[in-house]
Formats: sequence, structure tokens, C-alpha cells
Amino acid sequence: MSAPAVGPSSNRWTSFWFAPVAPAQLALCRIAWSAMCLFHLSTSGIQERIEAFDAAAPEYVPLPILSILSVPFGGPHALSAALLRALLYTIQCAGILALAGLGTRFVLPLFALGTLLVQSWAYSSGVISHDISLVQWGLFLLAFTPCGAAWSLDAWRARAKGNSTPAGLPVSGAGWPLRVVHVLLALAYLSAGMTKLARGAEEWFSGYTLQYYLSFHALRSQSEPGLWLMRHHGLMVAGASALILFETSFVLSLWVRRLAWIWAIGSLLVHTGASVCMGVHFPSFPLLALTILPWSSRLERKRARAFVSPRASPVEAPRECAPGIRDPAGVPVTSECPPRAPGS
Amino acid sequence: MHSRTRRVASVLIVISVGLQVLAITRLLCPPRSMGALSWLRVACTPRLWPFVDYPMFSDPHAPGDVLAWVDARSESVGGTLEVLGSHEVRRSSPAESWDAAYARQEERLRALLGPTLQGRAHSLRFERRHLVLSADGLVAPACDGCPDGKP
Repeated sequence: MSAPAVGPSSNRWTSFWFAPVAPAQLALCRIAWSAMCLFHLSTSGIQERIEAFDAAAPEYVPLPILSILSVPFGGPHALSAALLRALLYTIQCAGILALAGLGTRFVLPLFALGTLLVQSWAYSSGVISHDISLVQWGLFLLAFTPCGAAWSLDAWRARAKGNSTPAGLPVSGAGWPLRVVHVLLALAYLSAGMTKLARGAEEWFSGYTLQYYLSFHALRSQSEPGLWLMRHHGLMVAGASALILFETSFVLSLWVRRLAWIWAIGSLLVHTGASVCMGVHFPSFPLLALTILPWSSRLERKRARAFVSPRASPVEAPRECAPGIRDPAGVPVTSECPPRAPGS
Repeated sequence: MHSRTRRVASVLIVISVGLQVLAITRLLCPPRSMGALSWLRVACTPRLWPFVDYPMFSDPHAPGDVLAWVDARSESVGGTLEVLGSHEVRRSSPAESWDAAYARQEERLRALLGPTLQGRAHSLRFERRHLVLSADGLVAPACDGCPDGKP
């Protein structure tokens, strides 16, 4: 039987989603996202909600994702305060282990699914928030990758046994969760920007809509920078335009990968500004935007440049070398090429 | 990466992006005013969580817009005041008077806060407050009793 033909659309799909990525990059996301989910679990008042939980309350309308995730426990109406308390404790333990990278292949899916379950339960009683949802979904996707192969106790144990994968060597196709998170983040910003334009572009560009919200939150939080800023209408006009430009153009960072850091810094500035001036804290988006940047490949390139002689030709002819040492998965660890002779 | 793993990943990619697109475009949540499409209202926010839309800070505002609220307090027999929070007042339509909107919110707060004070010798007190949007931000209105900023 012949192999199925691989067309250009399949190639485009593969090259867009399945880029190679270094385990160190995945590990950075594992650590940062797990830390944020753990922090959110312990500071968002879920413990208090569990204590006051009444499964028969009319406002408890389980979200579809909760209905799916709670099947092993008998469905969303079988969840009790005692079970949720035990789940929360288990999830927090799994989260700490995932953060440290111990038994990552087992504890990270457990932690990711557990946080989605507990959070969807909390949001099934009325008010929902979008503060952490993308991080939690991203963590679930990350569980399908070798993100415990670097910067983890698992990697340390493997190194001690002599069968580790170097953290800097890219793993073929493993970058798809980062790409998905990037796309979801771009869609979220696009949604925020387009909604502002659709509901009142004129009022937004006049600066008054932003001035209203900034004043409201600055007065509520008594933020000194916010109280100063709200009196400067010219800055509001400039800020409103800059914000729309940032939100609607973030999607370009999907294709202009080399300049993605500009939008990541923009995200950091926008949300730090909202936090300082309005008391509106939304750290998950800048965290995602910063962690999906290709940090490890940048560091690798820098390291490689540091070892290149200034007189060396930028393009070197390929050489026949010995295969070098390979790890159990067949990934080359070292090359046994002899050093080039000067002037060769 | 094995081809089976890649297939699973492809399914997750399609689900993630597809649900996020549905959430932000509201294709499966047409407005109630479009009665003929009511059968399509199957996935309104937050049914698709963790995929949600992001409409924050998008309701438009213009100079003269009012931010109105009620400060609720309970007063004991001895005259001690206990703050019970500030509660925003919104008109149900531009035609509704601010007086009616304040009264509606105070009635709601009486029903909400009243039971918590039962058995204690306290009375509920409300203070109506508002600010008006100007080029200097939200500021006190030019005169008393002119919540829309126009004397």
C-alpha cells in the first residue's frame, strides 16, 4: 500500500503548528504556568466557596466542561464539599510536583485537568471570570509534550543515570501547544479590540470611553497615578489609540515571529498600566505573551555566536562526520566532527 | 513526533481554535432580538468556558455621562454608622429618570441587605452620589440635583 500523498496544505499545516522546540522552552512554560495556576488556586477564594457549596442551589448550573470532567466522580451533582476539598488538596500537591518536574508525565495532566475541573465548578455558580482560563487550557495542552525533559527533577534524575536529552536540542513537532496558546491569545486581543470598535469607535478614539473606565477604577482603588492620568484628556486620546493598535495588531505576531517580542512587551506595558493606574490585575496575558517567545533558541543562537571565530566564514560547507553520541530516543547529543583546520 | 500523537494534537488544535472562534464571534449565540435564530442560541458565554469572549471596557462613553451609585450604611440606635458598600446605579433605558433608577436600586438593596440586619437594632441608610464625565475625568457635577451634568 502506498503512503498517502502529502500536499502543500498538509505541509503548511505542519510548518505552522508543529515547529520544533527545545525542552527548555517547554520547561519554562511548565514552570511559569504551573506557578500561576497554583497561585490562583490559593488566592481566588475557592476554599471559601467550597465550604459554602450547596449542590442543590438554583444558581448552580454546571458548565459543559464540568459535566465532562466530573464523569469519574459521578457527574457534577455528585460533587460534595468534602470531595472538592480532597480534590483541591490533591491538585495543589500535583501542582507543586509539576512545578518541580517530578513525575511530570503523570502529575502535569492531573494538575491541568484538576484545575480545569475546580475552576469550572467555581464558575458554575454564576459569575465567571476570564482571568486564568487561557493559562489553564495551555497547561493542559502542555501535558502532551516533553516539558519535563529540562529544568526538572526528572531531568536531573535522568542525567544522573546518564540517559538525558540535552535541554537545548529542539524536539521535532513539540511546539504546537505554544502555537495554540499564541493563536488563542491573538484571538482574545482581537476580540477585545474589535468589540471596542464595534460598540463605539468614535467614543473610543475620542478618549472619553477610556477616561470613564480609568477614572472609575482609579477613584475606586485610589491609585495616585490613575488619579493624575484621568485629568489629562490628551493622554487618554493617545492611550486609547495605542491600545486599539496593540489589540488589533497582536495577531500579526503569529507571522512576524522575529518581532513577537514587541507585542510581548506591549502586553506587559498594557497590563502593568492597568494594574498601577486602575487596580485591575490581569497578569495571565503578559505571562503567556512573554513565555511563548522563543527564549531557548535565542539563548542557543547567542551561545553559538559566542563560539564562532570572528574570521570564520558565515556559511560553512557540510562535512562528513562520525555520527556522534545519541540518546536512547536517537537524538544526537554530540558530534564527533574533528575541528576544522585553519583556512580550510 | 509519532503520527498518532500528531493526529491527537491536530484534533486538540482544531477544538481549541474552533471553540475560541465560536466564543468571540458569538456565532452560536445570536441576540435575543433575532427571534428567528433563537434555535441557534446553544453556546452563549459562559457555556464554552474556558473559551470566552473579551468585551471588557467596550461600552462607549461620552462627555456628560454619569457614574451614579448608592452608598449603603446601617445606623445603630446609638448613631454609629457601619459602611455596607457602594452600589452602582444604572438606568434601565435612557428614558428612565435617575430618581427612578436610584429608587429601584435602593429597593433592591433593602431586599438584599435587610435580612442581614434583622434582630439587630439597626436601620438602613442610603446616600445617593454621582459624578459626571468631563475632559478632567469623572468629576463632581456643576450643581446639586443635576445628575446628567446639565443644570
